[in-house]
Amino acid sequence: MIGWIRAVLGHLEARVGLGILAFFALLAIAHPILLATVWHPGIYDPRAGYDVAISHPSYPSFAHFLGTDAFGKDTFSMLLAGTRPALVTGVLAGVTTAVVALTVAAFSSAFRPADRLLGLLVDAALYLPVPVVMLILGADPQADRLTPEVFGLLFGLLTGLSSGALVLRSQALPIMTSGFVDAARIAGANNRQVITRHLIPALVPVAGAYVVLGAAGAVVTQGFLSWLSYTATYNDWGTLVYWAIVTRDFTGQLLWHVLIAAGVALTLLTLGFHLLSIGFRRAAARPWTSLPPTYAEPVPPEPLAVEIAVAS
Amino acid sequence: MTGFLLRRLVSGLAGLIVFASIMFLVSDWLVPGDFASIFGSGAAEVREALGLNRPVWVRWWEWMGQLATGSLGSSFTGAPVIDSVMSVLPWSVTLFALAITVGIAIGIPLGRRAGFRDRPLSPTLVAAATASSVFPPWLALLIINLALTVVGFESYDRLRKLDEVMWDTPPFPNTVLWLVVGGMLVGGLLLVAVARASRLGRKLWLVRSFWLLIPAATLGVWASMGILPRIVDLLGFISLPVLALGTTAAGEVILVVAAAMAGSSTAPYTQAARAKGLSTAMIRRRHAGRATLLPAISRLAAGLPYALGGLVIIESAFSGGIGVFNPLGARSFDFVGLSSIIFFQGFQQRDTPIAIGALVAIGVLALIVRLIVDVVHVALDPRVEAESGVG
Repeated sequence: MIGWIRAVLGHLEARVGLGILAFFALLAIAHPILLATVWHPGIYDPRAGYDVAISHPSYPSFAHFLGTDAFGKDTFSMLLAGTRPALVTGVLAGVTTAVVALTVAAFSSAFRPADRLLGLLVDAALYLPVPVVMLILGADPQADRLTPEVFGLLFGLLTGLSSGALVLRSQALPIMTSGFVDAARIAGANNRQVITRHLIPALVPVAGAYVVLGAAGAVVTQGFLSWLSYTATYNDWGTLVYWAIVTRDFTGQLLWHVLIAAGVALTLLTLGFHLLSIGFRRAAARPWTSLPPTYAEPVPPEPLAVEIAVAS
Repeated sequence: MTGFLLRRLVSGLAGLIVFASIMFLVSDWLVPGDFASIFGSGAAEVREALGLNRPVWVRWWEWMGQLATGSLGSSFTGAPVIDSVMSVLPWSVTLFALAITVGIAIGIPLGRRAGFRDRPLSPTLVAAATASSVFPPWLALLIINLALTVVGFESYDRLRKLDEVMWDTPPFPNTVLWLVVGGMLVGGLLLVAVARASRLGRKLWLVRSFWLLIPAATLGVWASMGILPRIVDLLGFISLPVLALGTTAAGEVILVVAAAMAGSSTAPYTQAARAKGLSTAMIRRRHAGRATLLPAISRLAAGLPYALGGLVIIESAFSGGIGVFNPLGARSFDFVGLSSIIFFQGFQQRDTPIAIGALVAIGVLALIVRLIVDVVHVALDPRVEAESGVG
């Protein structure tokens, strides 16, 4: 476990990606603290705040880092409020994708009869345009079914069943027929031991790459659906983009500061997940990639004992 | 190859039926306030007339029967669903085909380059990750604005509607779009056939000349049908969504190809090629590129749900109804594709059969794409066919 975390973090992409995620996590934590201490809730509340001192919408100023929208709400505060749903969705979707995909891969490689059935299910899931399915699930704007938690779980389930399971199944088959698994079986390991001791540890880095991709997809899709106002969140980056665009239809003024802030936040968070995924993928690369590069300096041979003796 | 493709087709159709059934049942259960409730006090009669008061299993069985005959049932307003699906399907298919072509054409060379050098935090990879993680409605907005500033207001205005005089007489846009897609498909499969032949044959110059001949012949066929100006007009209309979806698709392709190429620069066969004195470009293209094409193709096939999701999102970002910023007055750039009828007729007007019909159409599109991927895969690697024969 520690070993492969170190292997993943050994790659620069993973460190940058993790840094971006940590930055957003900090923002999410900072928001309630800021509201409780520095910011006056009447002015900075992301849903009802209004600053009477200036006219709205306003461009970035010292009091409002990212300006305010047409209703007088502080953009920076809304942006921070949108961080938590986005992070929760992404992380939950990623973890669910991994668990579902690993389970399907383990089952179908260990129990051949299950493979046929699961194969059909994976086949069916590959037809899914996930955003539309999420839309059907959240089609009732009044019911507020798609909270970030539910959204993350469902999205993870769908992607885990489709592309995640497809890739992990194909990775699992060579492992199950490899020499070390045969050796383990001869030594008396049963199916459960083979899966938990050999299959899953070998799959974890590959799964990691897909988990994180699932998370990235979830963040974008959630933004899209809240842009269509089909999710149960009110302070959301997608909603922010929507309002920035819609305000133009009414007032003729495009709120660039709102639009850019929300769009950049969404893209940056997704990019963080993507970079982390690249790190996982590098860590999971084939063993022969660890061969020294061709242009490496040849390692000088160890001096013989006689030579050492002569030198001293 | 025929037997293999037939097996894949049958298993794909089975998956498609499972998928359609799940969607039918789920949407019946979840979509709120059924169609009849719009009519207030007359709801009971409407429900009776449409047969909505029967149990869901009965309706599902009836719908399956209609699916088997190739029709998608009728919408709640009485019009056949297949008609409204077919009226928008060519737009979605063309957008998807063009964007995937753009994505592959840009993605494979760039991905190979980035993957072969394999530097930490390579700019290409970061750019690709950004391209595939950008928020699509935002990207749509950016592209529309860019088009405005780069090509100017006048040209932009022409980009968003078709030439009225030209389209007065048949063939109409849908027919022409099908011809475009058909030409791309036939040309592409011919190219794959040539690629397969080039692996077997010796006369390389003959084979190579086909790489230019086939696109030229496709263009020639279109020109001889007299639809070339119409195609140009349509391409102008569709170019902005293609640019948007192509950008995200290219990002995905670069990531996948680079992932498959990772480590190939230190692989033993590369060392052997280097020792032979081949240039880096040659090693990248001929050795590493070919060796890593197969894993890249199977990973790309696994990314199909993402691609379809991207299609739906980009389409709705460019279909004016939802609220994309539009400099020419609100909501005038209308790209009407499958997602439009899912969103507007399907959900806002609660005409569930249309939404499900459009979903089935997307499923069929996915099935066809997977069959094409299978053909390419078998053409490049005969082992795929042989292995599937065993299992």
